[in-house]
Amino acid sequence: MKLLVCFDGSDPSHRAIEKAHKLTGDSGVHEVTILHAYQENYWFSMGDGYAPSPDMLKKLENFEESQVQEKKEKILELAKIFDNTEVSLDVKTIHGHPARVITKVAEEGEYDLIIIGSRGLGGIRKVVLGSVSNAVMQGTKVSVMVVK
Amino acid sequence: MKILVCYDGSEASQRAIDKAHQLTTDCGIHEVTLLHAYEDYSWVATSADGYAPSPENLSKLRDLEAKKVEEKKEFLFTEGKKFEDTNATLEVKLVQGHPASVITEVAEEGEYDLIIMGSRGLGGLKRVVLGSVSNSVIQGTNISVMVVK
Repeated sequence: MKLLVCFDGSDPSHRAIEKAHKLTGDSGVHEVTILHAYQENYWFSMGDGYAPSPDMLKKLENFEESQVQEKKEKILELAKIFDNTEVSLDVKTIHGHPARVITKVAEEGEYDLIIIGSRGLGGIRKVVLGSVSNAVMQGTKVSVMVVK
Repeated sequence: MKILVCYDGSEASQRAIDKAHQLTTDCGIHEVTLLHAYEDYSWVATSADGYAPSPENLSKLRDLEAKKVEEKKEFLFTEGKKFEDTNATLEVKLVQGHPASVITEVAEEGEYDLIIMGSRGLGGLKRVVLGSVSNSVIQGTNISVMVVK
């Protein structure tokens, strides 16, 4: 088995990694990829309706970059739980529409299972299935494990 | 790990069992329950003229429903044999009631770690990518759900 774990920094996505670890325990799972798909949001910024100045844009770009870097470090830290398993671990950070990136990576890499948190970073607490989880679930031929 | 596999007779739900088997062979799963939740439809039957079915017809319909459940049970016991080469304890459960409610209730009361179910059940719409039962279970439970395509 080859697992794809989708991480966006939310609590359920942390649990998705833990679940992958649990499944890997004794294990025929031989390959785990932790994927962070992200979209930068700076291009629709500025409250006054004007496009940001080149100077401001630069700052926003740097900020987004540092955020991606932070996520990557967080993933590497979380991935340490796989150290005592024999699985080959890969971390991917890919820029793009998250649901599409996840679907594409899963299908092109011929993964057996996508593990994803039930709710992402979108703020609405009572939504039980996030928009990305839902889009992935509806849009892929690969089995999906939704971790609560 | 303790896994709940939901079965309704559809091809996708058979693949859910295969997936459970695969996970059991590979991992530290010690308990597997094959669950078939079903509804008895005999009471909604009417004769073509709109009257309730005669006691005789009703009894035939009930027998037919009972036979279908019996068939599912036999199938689950046959499927269950696949797990004999693993260390997991296997249980087969048949529960009558609203399927999504039954699945959620069994999973939560039995404190399962994972529910495995097919993406589409017996409802006829082929292009529907997530069936109504799978969808209600995902929305309605605190337990992780694996949807097998």
